[in-house]
Amino acid sequence: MNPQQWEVAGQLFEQALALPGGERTAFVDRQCAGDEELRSEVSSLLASHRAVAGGFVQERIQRAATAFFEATAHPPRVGPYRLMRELGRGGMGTVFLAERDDDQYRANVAIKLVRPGMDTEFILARFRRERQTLARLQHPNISRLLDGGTTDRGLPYIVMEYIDGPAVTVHADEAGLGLPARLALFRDLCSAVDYAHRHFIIHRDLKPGNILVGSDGVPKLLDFGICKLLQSEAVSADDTVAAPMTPNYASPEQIRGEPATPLSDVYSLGSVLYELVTGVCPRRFDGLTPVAVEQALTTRAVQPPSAAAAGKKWARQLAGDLDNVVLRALETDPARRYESAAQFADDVRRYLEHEPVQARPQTRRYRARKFVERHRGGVAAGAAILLALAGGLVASLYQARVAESRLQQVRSLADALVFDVHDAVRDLPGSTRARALIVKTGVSYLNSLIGTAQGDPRAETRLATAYRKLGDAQGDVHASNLGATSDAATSYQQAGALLDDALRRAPSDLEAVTERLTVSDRLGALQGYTGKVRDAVNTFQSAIRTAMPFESSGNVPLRMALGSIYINASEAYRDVEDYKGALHDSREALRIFGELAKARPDDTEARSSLATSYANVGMAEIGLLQLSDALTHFRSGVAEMERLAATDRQNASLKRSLMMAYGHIADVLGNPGVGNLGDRAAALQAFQRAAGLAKELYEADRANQRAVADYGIALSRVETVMDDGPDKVKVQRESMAILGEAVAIDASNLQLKVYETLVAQHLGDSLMKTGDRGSARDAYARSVQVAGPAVSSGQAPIVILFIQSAQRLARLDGVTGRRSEALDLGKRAVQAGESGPTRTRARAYAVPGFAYAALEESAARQPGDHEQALSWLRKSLDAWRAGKAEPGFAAAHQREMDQVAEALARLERR
Amino acid sequence: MDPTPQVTQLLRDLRLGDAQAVEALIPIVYGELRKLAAHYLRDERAALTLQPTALVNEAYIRLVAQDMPDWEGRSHFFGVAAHLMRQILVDHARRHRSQKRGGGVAAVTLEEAIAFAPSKSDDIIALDEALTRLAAEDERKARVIELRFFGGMTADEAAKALNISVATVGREQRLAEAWLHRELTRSA
Repeated sequence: MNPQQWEVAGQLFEQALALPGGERTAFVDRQCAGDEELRSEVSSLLASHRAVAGGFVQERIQRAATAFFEATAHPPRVGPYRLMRELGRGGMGTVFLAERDDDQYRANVAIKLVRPGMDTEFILARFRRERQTLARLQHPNISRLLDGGTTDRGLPYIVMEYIDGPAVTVHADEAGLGLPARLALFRDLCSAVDYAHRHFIIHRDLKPGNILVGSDGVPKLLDFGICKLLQSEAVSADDTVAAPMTPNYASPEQIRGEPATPLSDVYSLGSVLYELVTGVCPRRFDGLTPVAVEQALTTRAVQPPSAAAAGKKWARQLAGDLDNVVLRALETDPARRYESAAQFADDVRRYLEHEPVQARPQTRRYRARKFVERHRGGVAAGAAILLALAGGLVASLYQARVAESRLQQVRSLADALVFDVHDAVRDLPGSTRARALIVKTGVSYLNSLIGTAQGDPRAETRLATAYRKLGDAQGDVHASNLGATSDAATSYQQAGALLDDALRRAPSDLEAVTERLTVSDRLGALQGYTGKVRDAVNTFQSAIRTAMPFESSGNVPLRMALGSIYINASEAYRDVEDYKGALHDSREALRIFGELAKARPDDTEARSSLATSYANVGMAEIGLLQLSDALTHFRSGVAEMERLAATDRQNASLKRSLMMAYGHIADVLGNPGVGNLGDRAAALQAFQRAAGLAKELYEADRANQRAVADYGIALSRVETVMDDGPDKVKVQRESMAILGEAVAIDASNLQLKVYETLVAQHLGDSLMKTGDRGSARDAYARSVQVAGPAVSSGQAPIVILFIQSAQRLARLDGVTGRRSEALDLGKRAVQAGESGPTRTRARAYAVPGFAYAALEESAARQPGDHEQALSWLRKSLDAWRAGKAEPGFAAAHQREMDQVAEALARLERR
Repeated sequence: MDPTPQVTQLLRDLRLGDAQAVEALIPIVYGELRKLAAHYLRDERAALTLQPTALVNEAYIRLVAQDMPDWEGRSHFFGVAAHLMRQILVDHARRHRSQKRGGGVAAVTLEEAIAFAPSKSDDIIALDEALTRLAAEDERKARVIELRFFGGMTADEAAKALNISVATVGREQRLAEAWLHRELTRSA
């Protein structure tokens, strides 16, 4: 309808209204004849006029006004605060400007209310817990959390300091700040972030919009941890946080949905600094789909600030050092960024004070080496460790001023804090003392966290991992250790208990199952190491049963853990002489690692485990006297290990594995103590190679019991295939000395005792051959002395060795007339061996037999010795005959048996 | 902080054609109105008979401390105030409208604290939209509605503000009301 028509309509409307009601329709029809549009318009308007009860517009406005004024006069209240207007909206709630009702002095605050629907008991509890932690953040550059509570309807809210000012980047422009001023501002921000990190709080959503500058010019960080509080975490079952709302400033790992770490905050700080000095954001993802974002992260590099800052008057100043500083913080790989916000700030300071900056490409290994060098010699007084979230493996050192009490303050475990040792530290030689330091601080910390984890399977799993790693540091058999084996067992058991509880609540949680396997693995290995072999077997078999239903899940960490258990289980079976079981389990390990190594050729852990599997299969085959098969498997293992060692010369554990592998090859080639293929020369060569490797490791870290023991043992093996002579004696003595050093570090290691006993015995034998009976007796005595107390463990090798050594000593003592010593030894030997397997019994009976036989011909003879000797030796021979029929009877056994037979024959002739 | 010089300046700007001055005025007027409302509504009964217009008058007086004998100025202020009143009421209604229309994005966190039935906020919003459509067809009629109902002017005052006769005001108002009613019932 055009304006003229409208005009006409209006006139007609008025005219019609002047007429009495009944006449109006006719009038309109007449006037609008031909113009339907006009007629319809006027009629409808007239109809509406009739319907309008005078003032219908008035009424509406009135109602709206009333409601409005009611609202403003009685603004919604939240606790003692009165909400005034909305400031903004977030993911889970809205922020309002509010003022306190009862004060004379009106202070503006910002209140964040959680959205209705987000008030489940779970979230509320977490909200409360986190609020308490956040309330303790008192820093001039962090907007303070003032209060919190729940409204009448039960919605949680947080009250924060209100900062009436723009974002830091806007402020910098408006105030005309130059480069030095901006950098100084930035350092204040770093100090705030660092402060929070030291309180174990991560911001997760640092961006210019969260950094406001009030009228006093002081920049303040907002939303500390609130982002974590108000993200819809409850929605997903796992604990990755929902992607941050503005990916432009978030770290790549956060964008991928991985848990945030302090290094993620470092990245975000980097992007803020970038924008402060260039005016633009380093990476822009606006309007991109998640897939496109992922791609952009990997393909688009960040433009150096000096290039991006075109237009700023200080653009040229950015080139060089400051470029490097900013880019370092923005590295995609967290390990390459600054290790902390404090370090970041420090480099900025260096730039401002014209000192050389640290930002340089740094490899992880390089940093680890620095870490180790700083702590060589042990004492970094008062150092404490920053504990990172699971998934983010970083350990840094901070000066801890109040280490203990600060640890006690930490209660928040929503995304558990996991204690970890920097991977590189573990593998570098010389890092033992550094680890001692970390362990000491870790124990008290973890114990304080148990209560908080209860009832939450996720938290329990994480905490269990922490205990496991602590146990590793305390006494892991497979890595460098400090010998604190009983402490380690406690830690593992603690971990196991937590995991069992977690699995009760969440039985198909693969992560928990994998961790349970790892813990069992460690515990079983520890049990074997300290002589509780039956316990070890049980631990491993139980773990295998737990894991088997999950093997087909294809989950790689779980399969690796299972493979590792099979390896250790086969070792445990060997310790109890169940070689069939050992072969079965080691074959399973070989299968698993074979598959894994094939599917993941770059995975060094899989490949080194594969090598170990070969070795274990070989060891089991040796027990079953399948010697050539064993040699083949050992050789495969060595080949695999040499390949790995070639690319990783520094790796201590790899070196050790290689050493062991050569030892196995040598054993099967010519170790007289076991069944062998009879190639003594080749065996000697292999043993010497092993000893060479062991010596390298020993010299790198003399405080490390494992390294010392290995060297001592390696030397003892060399001597077993040497020809008699002074060289052999020399090696034996050296071996004994080194083994003695190892036992001094940790006396609970049974394995060491076995070797020490054996070497001492061999030394005695060598010395006997040279005619030096006195020294030989000392050696045998030493052997008996070491082995004696360990006999109660029931472990076959030590019992056998004890008896053998006792026999030698008893004979010698018998010959030299030391009657009581000789007979006492005989008694002890019988005690040790009569309840054991057949051949062990045979050996045991032989000892008093030889003792009496020797005594009979000595100055200390007594009547009845002859009969006693006969009796015992006959018993022994009978047992040997029975033992010959049993599997595993080898040449060495035959020799022992022959000895007894000969002695018996001589006696019977007299 | 004394808002008076600001307001006066803004009013001048407005007269000179600066439309953005309206935006700047809103928070100031809002603040004043809030205080006034609080004062008036301490009496429960007063709330029921509250005339927004009376409040606007008072707000005016408080904001512009001295009498403004200048008719044009006064008239102008009330014209602006009327418009502001409309803006404020609609804005408030929009923000507190319950999101029953699915897709529930933003929170109505104050909903629980305000006894504000949905229909009420929809009413004023619909009226505002209809009024905007009317203004597109016939600006003067929309202005009359605004001045008379949001601004609370008498027919006389409106006539003077719009430079038309009182009779014309009456006619404009009648037609405008009919039109609005038709629009609002048609779309309901």
